[in-house]
Amino acid sequence: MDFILQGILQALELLVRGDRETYSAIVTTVKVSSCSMAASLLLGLPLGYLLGYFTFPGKNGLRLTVDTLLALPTVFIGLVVYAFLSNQGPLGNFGMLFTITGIAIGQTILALPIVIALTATAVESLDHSLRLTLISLGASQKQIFLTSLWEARLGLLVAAIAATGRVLTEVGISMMVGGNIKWHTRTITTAIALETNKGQFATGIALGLILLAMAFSVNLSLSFLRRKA
Amino acid sequence: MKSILQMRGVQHRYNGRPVLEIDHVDFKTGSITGLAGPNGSGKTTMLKLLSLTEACRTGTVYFREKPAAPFINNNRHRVTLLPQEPYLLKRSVFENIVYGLKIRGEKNNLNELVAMALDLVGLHESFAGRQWHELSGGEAHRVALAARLALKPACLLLDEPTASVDMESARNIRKAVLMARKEWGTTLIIASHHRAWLNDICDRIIYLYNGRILDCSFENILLGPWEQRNNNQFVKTLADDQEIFVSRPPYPDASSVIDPKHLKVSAATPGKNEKSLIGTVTGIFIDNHFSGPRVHVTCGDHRFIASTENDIFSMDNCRPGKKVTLIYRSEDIIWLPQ
Amino acid sequence: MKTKVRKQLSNLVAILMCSLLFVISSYAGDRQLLLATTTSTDNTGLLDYLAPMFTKATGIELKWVATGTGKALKLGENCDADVLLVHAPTAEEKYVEQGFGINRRELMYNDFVIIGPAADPAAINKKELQLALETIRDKEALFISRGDNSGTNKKEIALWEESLSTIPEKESWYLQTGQGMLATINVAAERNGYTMTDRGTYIKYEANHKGSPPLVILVAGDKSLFNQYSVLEVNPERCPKVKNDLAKQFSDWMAGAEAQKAIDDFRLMEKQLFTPNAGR
Repeated sequence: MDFILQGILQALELLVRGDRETYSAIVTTVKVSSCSMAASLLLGLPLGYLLGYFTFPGKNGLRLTVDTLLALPTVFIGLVVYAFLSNQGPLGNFGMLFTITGIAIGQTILALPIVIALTATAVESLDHSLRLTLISLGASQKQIFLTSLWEARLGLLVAAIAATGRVLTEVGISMMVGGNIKWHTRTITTAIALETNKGQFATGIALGLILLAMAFSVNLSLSFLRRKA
Repeated sequence: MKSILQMRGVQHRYNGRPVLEIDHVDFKTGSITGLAGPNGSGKTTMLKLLSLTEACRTGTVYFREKPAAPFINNNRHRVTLLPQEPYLLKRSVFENIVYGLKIRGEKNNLNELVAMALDLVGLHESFAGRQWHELSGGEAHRVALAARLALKPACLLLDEPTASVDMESARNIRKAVLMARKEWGTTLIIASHHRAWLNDICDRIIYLYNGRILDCSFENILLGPWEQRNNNQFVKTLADDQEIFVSRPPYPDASSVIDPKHLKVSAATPGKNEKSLIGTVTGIFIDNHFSGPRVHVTCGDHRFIASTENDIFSMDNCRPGKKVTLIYRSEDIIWLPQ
Repeated sequence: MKTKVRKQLSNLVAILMCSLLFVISSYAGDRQLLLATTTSTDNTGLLDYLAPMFTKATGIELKWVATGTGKALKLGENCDADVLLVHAPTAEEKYVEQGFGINRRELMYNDFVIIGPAADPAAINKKELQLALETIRDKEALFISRGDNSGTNKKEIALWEESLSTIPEKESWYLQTGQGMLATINVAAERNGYTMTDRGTYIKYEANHKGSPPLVILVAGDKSLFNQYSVLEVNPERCPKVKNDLAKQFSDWMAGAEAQKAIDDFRLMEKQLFTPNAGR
């Protein structure tokens, strides 16, 4: 139990002291998650909009598939991505295994269903009169798309926060695809796994608290969207 | 260019269910047309098709005598629709009003245009700063109208514009709509249950029932069930056991209608083909659109609108509370389409 | 809308960063060597100690993935690593036979020890290895195994087979954690059980507990407890993309005088963890 208290103190110590390994893990985590979040939002927002907005044959089946993908375990994704990026796999030539890019690819696969499913829900719960109003004011298809997304911004914010949370805290993909290589692909979460495995529980707690602080600052910066709405 | 909007051979359905079937209708430039009909008669659908917000399944809508459709060229910039429950975007009143202007690339004079639009609907300039959630129902409705008026549209289509608003908002909306016509020659098409208002301002009124245009007005709708008397005689029995005689219904539970001008208050005895009904007068009205006064008569529990001659004798005969005889012919009772 | 522009801008920045990262990560690969190794070389801190020396001597940056021996060998088989440092001689010889690895070279050794609670409920202290294992089985004393196909695990299973002609896989007193050495030791400590570990990791464990750990060494010295570490190069004929020239330099350096001495000098709590034995 006292390792929790120790952990709190150690967290402050690591940050203030500028511990190189800790800061390396922080930077790696930031790099990887910004990449995967950017990619999953860029792909997921339009796809989610299409899924939520239009009716087409097979829509229910597609929605069911996306919702099921929400439950993909990270180690499973890690294993599959490893198989693809390995030198024995089809994408082996790109040398992305054990790199940040490789982890980002896996995390994008993790975050994409979240963004798509929640965006589709947010768009579906838009007032049906919105489309009619926009057309009657003369909007084009593209303007309807952009304005609808902006109107649904609260729901989209939820999608972004949920996806970010999942991506920041996953271990399975980072470990399997990244290899937890010190200075290169060691993220905060893989560092926690390592320290815990070595029995260094206090350090594990410390790193966990640092991760929480990172998540908090991300949500804080996104709160401007909530204010406007 | 006489007709600004036209429909030809239009058939429309939702989920396979036919909702509108109009062969031929024209709207003259600068005219005010009313659309009347019960709920579900297709008024909203017709407005949606005319305003180019939805595409017809079959048939064509013409704008300025050229075929038009949603999202094709900029016609949708000149025809605008105020839906029954207009939606305001989650932003300020100002932003809502300029949305349509910005789409059209208007960048200058935004403040003046907003002020003008607000003034037209009877709202003060300071309203521009309010947020969408700080408005009452009537104010929101007026802002939605202002957003459309700011575009100075060639055609303004309104779906029940005064149905769910407070009295002052209704008054302001009515005023604004007429002002648009006066200032910019905007053609108006208004669907409303407010018959008195429609009668007052419209050049003509189109009656819709089950998606089709009727030739007659339908103040007097008669619903089934119908009982068969002789070979071709069918009747509807009223609450006081009087019977209305009709021809054979085209299908069970058909509805029928009789134009007031075919239901006359008369002191004479019914002729060979004529039938009669006895009722009590509840009111007498004058109307721009109809020649002669309209008399409201209650027979049994059914209210009818009948006509009478425009002379002192006839009108005197129709004092409210007086018992009168109504004369009609079975063949004047028209069956409504399914 | 200002905030909308701001959001679009930050998206753009993130995309640019990503593309930059892609470029950087694919570019900076030249003088880097990827080593797949076991948790014992990593957790003891040996690699952290040797890596800077290696870089100084050869200019090559050493990156390593520390997993169990099983996974390390698999990575080599998949051509995802350049060189391996493991401690499972039987598996390694088979590996070379199958053509996955070449130039197997013994580097250093230590030994395995059986540790248990200081109170020693099964009374196996200072017994001969075979007798000790038989006693554990007879008394049904709790034994914690790594159960993860690592070098240590393979050795442990081989010892059971030698002593008892059978593996106590399904016995109620035999627990498999599926985790690394230190984690397994912790489980043993919590459950008051026995376990087998390499001496290097035990000394690290001792150091973590500042010299008074709950588990102590009870059985040691038997020649079957010998723990040999070797380096293998991933076969470049099977894996043309592998950096075999750098791997050779690593293998040569580790067997060379400088590294061997460094290994000999490596201490934790003034105890030696590994004994160099290259070329002997």
